[in-house]
Amino acid sequence: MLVSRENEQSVQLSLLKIPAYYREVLLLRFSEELGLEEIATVMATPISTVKSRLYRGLAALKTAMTEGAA
Amino acid sequence: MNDNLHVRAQRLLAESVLEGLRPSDETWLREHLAECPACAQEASATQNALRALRAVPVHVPRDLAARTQLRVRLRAQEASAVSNGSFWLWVVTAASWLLGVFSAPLVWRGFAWLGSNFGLPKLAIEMGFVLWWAVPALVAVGAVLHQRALSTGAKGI
Repeated sequence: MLVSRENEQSVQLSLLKIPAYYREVLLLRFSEELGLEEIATVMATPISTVKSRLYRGLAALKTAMTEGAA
Repeated sequence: MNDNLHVRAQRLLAESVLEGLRPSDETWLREHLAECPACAQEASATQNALRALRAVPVHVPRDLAARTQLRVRLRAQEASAVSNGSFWLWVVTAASWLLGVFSAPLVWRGFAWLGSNFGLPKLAIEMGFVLWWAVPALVAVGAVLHQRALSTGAKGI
């Protein structure tokens, strides 16, 4: 998938706006494509915590991207 | 339209990208998105965010990423093995405890018989009885501590 340089910077900026613990799980899941159990092992947290961080992190990222585009 | 429907749609949208949906939920969501512009826009925003996330370049050497993934998989396998080991340790501990409880009267009689036949002092008999109970528990504690030390060592790799 090609993403323009401008879009790429916008995504990077949006990622920097959200808390680090959301950023980490989102990148591990969608960029590194690790499974939930693997993320839980890497971060030494329960799977339930990984799931809730993914849900909240995705919502926070969408908000940050929307605000960035406005 | 009922607010609960939108809440359900939001929840299913998130679930669909993070864990996947059951076919019935997937059908319901598709139908809802077809008739609800607000939720359809939310779905589009979610897909955009995911597309952007997947396209974000992670600036690490290729071999480092591969080695990290391999280590993660090995650690997940180790965690699973330790978990299976813990289960059997608990089973053995429970069986040992039950056996200990039900055999206590017999063991006490055995110690009493030894004491009366060999003229052992009462304190020695009581100490023997206490040790009979304590030694297996101490061995179990040692096994648990050893297992924890091994798993901590594995995490430190």
